[in-house]
Amino acid sequence: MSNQAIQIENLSKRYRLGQGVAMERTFRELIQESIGAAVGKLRRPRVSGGVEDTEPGNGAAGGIEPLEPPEGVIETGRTEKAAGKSAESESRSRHFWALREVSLDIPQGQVVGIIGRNGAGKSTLLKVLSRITDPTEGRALIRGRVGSLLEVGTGFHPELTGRENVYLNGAVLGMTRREIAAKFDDIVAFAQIERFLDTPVKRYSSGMYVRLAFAVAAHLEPEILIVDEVLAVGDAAFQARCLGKMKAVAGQGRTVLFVSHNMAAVQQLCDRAVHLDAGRVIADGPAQQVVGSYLDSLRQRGTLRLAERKDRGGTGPQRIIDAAAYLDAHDTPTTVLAVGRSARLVFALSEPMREAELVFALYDVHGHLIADFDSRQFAAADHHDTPTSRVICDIPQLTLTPGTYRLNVALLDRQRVAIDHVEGAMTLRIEDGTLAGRAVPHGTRGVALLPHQWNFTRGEAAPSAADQIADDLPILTLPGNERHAA
Amino acid sequence: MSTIATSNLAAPTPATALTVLKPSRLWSPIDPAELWRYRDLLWILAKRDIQVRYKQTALGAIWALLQPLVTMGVMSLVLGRFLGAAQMVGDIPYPLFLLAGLLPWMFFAASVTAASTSLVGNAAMVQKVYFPRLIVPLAALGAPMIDALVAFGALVLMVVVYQSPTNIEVLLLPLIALTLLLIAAGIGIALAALTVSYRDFRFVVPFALQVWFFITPVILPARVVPTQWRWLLNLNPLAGVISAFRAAALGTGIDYAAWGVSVVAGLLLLAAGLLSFSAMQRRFADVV
Repeated sequence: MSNQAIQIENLSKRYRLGQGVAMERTFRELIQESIGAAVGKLRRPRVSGGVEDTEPGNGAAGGIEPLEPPEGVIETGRTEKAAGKSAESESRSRHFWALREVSLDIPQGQVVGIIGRNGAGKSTLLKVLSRITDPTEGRALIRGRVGSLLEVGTGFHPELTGRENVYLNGAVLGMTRREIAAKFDDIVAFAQIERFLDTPVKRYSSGMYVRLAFAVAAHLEPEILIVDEVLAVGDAAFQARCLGKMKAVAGQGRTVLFVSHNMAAVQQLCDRAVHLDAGRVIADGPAQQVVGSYLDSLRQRGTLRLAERKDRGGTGPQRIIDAAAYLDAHDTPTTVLAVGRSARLVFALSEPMREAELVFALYDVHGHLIADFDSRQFAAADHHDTPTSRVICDIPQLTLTPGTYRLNVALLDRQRVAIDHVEGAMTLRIEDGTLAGRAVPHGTRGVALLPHQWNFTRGEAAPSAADQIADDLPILTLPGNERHAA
Repeated sequence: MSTIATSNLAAPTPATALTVLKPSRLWSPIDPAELWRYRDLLWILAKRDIQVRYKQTALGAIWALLQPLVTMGVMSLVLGRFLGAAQMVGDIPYPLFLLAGLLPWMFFAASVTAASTSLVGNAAMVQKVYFPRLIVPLAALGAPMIDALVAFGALVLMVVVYQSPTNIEVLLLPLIALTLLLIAAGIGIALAALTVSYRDFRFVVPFALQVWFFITPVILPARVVPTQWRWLLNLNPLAGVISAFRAAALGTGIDYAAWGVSVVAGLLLLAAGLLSFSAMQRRFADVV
């Protein structure tokens, strides 16, 4: 029993919904609550603990009704009102369970990946375990010091220098000044920012910022390390180093809880994975196996209509309500594309938006990122003034090997803030086809097909590859470049 | 690449500590031992506020001097000369009288303002990391303290320039300052917690401070209030302590009864602040 680092027993967390959380509560309620507290729990049968459950009166009847929240389904108040339902059901719908009866035992030294779609409860679980928020029901026992890294750079202040921020961030994460001072050189070396130590971090590149922040957290040396999605940032080389560092941490018998959407990282790092969906544990076991079943479930999700998906991130209000793929010039959408042919992807937004940026990424069945499509990086011209409600991406030639690909899509604003984000928005099958006149059958190895040409000669020099390919072979041209050239 | 030292876990939590996370009751008490373990954070957060305060300002820390001095100058001209307030303070030079009252008042107002917005201003941290939440409003008191110390230097200078008499009561200044800190901390802590849930307080605080200023003997001495109403004035916890501060600085004799009221009020306010904070702190992360 005592070698369990974390024991979670029937943990549930309920939230109120809507931005009006605070505003709905009046002073009268506050005072009533305080009086209630004084009078004590004797009189009041407790439904459960959190304040987020304390219903505002709910009419004169005064009885406490058992809440029947929608199972992990986020109902927006707006639709409820539109449906003209009673105030009572409206107040019910303002709650949802972010976690529902989660039970887990995590032995000391285990590295556990928490996976699941947006809104599945992963971050809530980490928040409860990090003591940031209280559970509504159930309990968790934690043995040892917890270091949690829920967001890179928490507590960084842009005006302060790198050096000052190391101390600030370290202290926020729970280190003493002595500890930080002892590890200061290691932290700086790991982050590779020696030269910029005395520069305010607001002048750092985002890469440097993230490197410094991760470096501080990585040197925290807790018995239990809780990490949420840090690897989504930074360049590939640094991500690899972060993974290495986390492996080293795990290698010393420390317990690591790791939330990521990067399935490759989860498989590489974790012994065990837990798949959360709608606040419940739906799979728990060896990482390979759970990741596999999770990716399968994502593929099935891809068939659900995008507008109806609730498991999305972003601030709203605009949503991506449709994503469709078209093969060549066909005008009926399809999910089957073919190697060597052209493809068009069309994304529809719920309402027109200025300064919209669209990003989508293709992942293979193992969860590896294959290709990233970013309108800011690659779009032809500035399109910021146009109120956009449809975004079209043309791929002149598909140069991926046959197989199944999953597509994540995000709508961003100009400041790169995610307005909407849907994972597994679409699943595309790429069928056999031909590229430069040659067949590319199923089972072709690798994922990318690069335009190239062979020459078998007796020894005289072949024409330079560049000339040859430019003249003879259809190559992948980015639409942006094409138009700039024209 | 660096290696991780396995020893030296000078951890805020002892290595074998067992933490039980369960639904909180209506109360989550403040743990003084935990606060002590996080004292470095308190220090670093306060230092951050002070460092950030005057970065990229041309005059830097001179602002801490300029604000009370300019206020003093304008007030002594308008109130002292044009409205004749200078005649009501006896033989004390009116600018000196003003500064000795403005200094504690400005410290109080700045502390309450800073503390009340501190949790909202540090929302990102509160939502992403666990630490004793009380650290945040406490750290917010740091910068006003430094500003007040700087301004105190100006007061000392003024006392010397005007050759104002002093007596032994000047030694009580630290205790009087502590009384003021108790009151400011108590109110600031409660407001910090309240502002998380009710942003109304962002409007309430500046307004309330403005009104409060005029019912506190800052621009005029307490004795302009008729004797039979003096007790009413002294119900204002700031009245006694600010009068005492000025009396100690200018050697005019402290009204100990009025100061006593302030001390009792300060202790009560601090207790009330801590109590309301501990009642509200468990839902900060969810609503901030």
